[in-house]
Amino acid sequence: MKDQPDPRSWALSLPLLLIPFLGILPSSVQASDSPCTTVQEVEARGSLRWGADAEGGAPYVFPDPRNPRQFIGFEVDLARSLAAKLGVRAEMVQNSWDGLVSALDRGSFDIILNGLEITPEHLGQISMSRPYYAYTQQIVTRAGDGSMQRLEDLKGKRVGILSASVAHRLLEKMGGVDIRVYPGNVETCKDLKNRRIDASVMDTPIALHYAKPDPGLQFSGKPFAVGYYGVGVRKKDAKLLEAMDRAIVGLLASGELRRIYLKWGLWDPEQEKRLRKFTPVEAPKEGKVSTLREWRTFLPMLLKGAVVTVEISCLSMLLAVGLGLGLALSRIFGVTPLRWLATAYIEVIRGTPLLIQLYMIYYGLPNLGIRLTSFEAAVIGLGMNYAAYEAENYRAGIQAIPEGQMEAALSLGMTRWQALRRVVLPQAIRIVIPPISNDFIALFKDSSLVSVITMVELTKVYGMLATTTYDYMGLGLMTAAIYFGLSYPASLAAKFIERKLRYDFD
Amino acid sequence: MILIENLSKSFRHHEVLDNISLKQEKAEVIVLIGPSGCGKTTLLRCLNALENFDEGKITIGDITISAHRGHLSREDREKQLVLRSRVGMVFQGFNLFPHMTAIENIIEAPVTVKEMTQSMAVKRGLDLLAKVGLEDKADFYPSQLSGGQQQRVAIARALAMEPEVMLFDEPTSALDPELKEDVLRVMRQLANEGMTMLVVTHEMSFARDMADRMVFMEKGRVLEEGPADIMFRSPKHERTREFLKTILPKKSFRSGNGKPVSGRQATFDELLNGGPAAAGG
Repeated sequence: MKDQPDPRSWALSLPLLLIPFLGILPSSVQASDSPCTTVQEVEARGSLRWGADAEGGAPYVFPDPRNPRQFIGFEVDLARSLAAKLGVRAEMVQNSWDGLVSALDRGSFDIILNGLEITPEHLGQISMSRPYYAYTQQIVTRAGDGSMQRLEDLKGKRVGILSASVAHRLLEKMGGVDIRVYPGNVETCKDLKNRRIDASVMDTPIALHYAKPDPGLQFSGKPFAVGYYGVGVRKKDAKLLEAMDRAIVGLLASGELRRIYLKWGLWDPEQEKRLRKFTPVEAPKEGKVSTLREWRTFLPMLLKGAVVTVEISCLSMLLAVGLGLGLALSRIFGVTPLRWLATAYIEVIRGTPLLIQLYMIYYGLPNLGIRLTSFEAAVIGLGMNYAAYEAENYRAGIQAIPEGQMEAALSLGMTRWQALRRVVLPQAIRIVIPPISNDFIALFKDSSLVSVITMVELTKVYGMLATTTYDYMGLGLMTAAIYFGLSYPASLAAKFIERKLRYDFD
Repeated sequence: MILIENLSKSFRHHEVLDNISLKQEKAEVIVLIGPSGCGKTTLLRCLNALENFDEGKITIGDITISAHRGHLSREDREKQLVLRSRVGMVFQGFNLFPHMTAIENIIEAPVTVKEMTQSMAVKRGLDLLAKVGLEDKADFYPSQLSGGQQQRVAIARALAMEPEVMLFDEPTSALDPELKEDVLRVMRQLANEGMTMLVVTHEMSFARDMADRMVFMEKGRVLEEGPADIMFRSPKHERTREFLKTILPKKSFRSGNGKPVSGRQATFDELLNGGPAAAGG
């Protein structure tokens, strides 16, 4: 998203950067007794750095369609106003939404301003300001479908939600809903219209921005479950928190908040009442959840994800190994147009990212009338991608067999196909087993990419649990152990097969 | 049995075979000699349809394949497959299938091509192994056999298809001298049984003993042909004489006092009069 600084220019400027520090050395020793607060830092810097994820989309923070290098959104306006209250300018720092809280703790920016809900979970980690926006949940369905008016009506339905959203938690708590987790709002609306899901539950800003203008979709029932977005601040930054609270109250009183929300179509008469009525949420007494200590709760959830990972990996590898052989044979022995087609397939697939292929298969193909379930799309996407790599493995294996083998078989009256099947391939297989088993292990881990097409596999479960418990380390260890526990036996099995296939002739 | 008429083939602009005509009777043994690059191997590969030719006609038994300007008719293309199953080929590098045992190598083609039953093919395969003196090596993989043993298995493998003609492409030149004799013995036996054989070799003792006719090729043409003893004793062309000189063994006999005489080449007469077996080139 941003240009990486050239490492050489860093190296050059390093000595220059040190010079001022040398000058202030005595004073900085003095200052260590009373460390300067973030407010002071912000004032000295002249900018308030706010963390947000532009990929989270409209209407919060998103690239201006007319000038994609610039970010717009109601939070961009809000950040500008908040910074102005401190007498500085606002500076956005892009960070993935899931990692905002951890990045704040690391000091990547001063505040979080990105639809972060004021919840006990968040308050366990960071401090949160007064709310700047009161949101509700809205059920969205296809236009004309009035069958789902209340949350309970969603039981037994396929419902799309954003990962780790309030709706996600509400639906899980209620149970009985076929929950589909989406990476973004555009995809949710698209799949709703494509009939892959029956409804969606969204935060009102999202619903207002994406679903309301869409003639194919409608709001069903009344909004419910009021929640609040607040500014996230590090726990130690009490001064900054105070400043944020003051700024928000000021913006509300001056009508500036109203002006911003009206501009983005987010204002409703209830908004001001709700913001004033807000009662602070209690921070949980206990700090972090230790997922390792409570592994009995978390491990089964991770293992459920692991089952999906294994299913997808095995099926897609099967497809890759089969299709790859066909591609390799077409490329080596096929008639001219077939050879070109196979070559083009291999080069194009290998030369483009798997992620884009998955997006195109799942979200793009419905435009052509092909609607695959996310499971089908995952298996086909991974399988077709890896087929290109397997084809090249086979090709290397087949071409490593001396020409004389084929000639000897032909001279005995065997057809090309018989010679291939009986003489060349059995020898080539032995050569390609190691690279193919290597690829299988890579695919096993690449399968985590299918979470973008709503598959909840192992890595996705990890991500969802980590963003609610913040125990990236404990859950990470468990997840990594599961991956390793599955891939290591696979590589042992590959070694065993390899040894079995090694004939006495070596 | 074999009839080659006006056969021509070129790679790019290099004429490999230049209007070759040759006739071989049933049970005749022809030894084909010539300097490397003269086209003798290409001729063999054309006869086995491993290589296509540009012009001319090849007839083996009742199958005729003809080409014009490098094109074969679809019909002729299909005939190539039948042709290969009737012509056995023995390669310089043996080309045994390394993932199969000796017996598996032998029964592979009868089972897959002729759809012979496994048991029948094995029974006949063991007979063939006995014939080449390797009945005890049936379950050995090629890597467990010596070069000479591998080549004998390769001969047995070719014979398993009951070919009408056997082509040998320098069958002993990849072998150590002491291993050549086993292979040559099998070839002599085959010739004595009346097999039609076309042999590219530098083994002049084999030519002397077994060849009904010798053919000398140079630059893609047949320069000279005739009975072996006549070609050895009085070749028509100077080129033939020069070539024969180069492939005759050096110092393969002893002088009167039993000491080896070095630095002198065997003469044609010495070879023809039954001097020690030529070790070949």
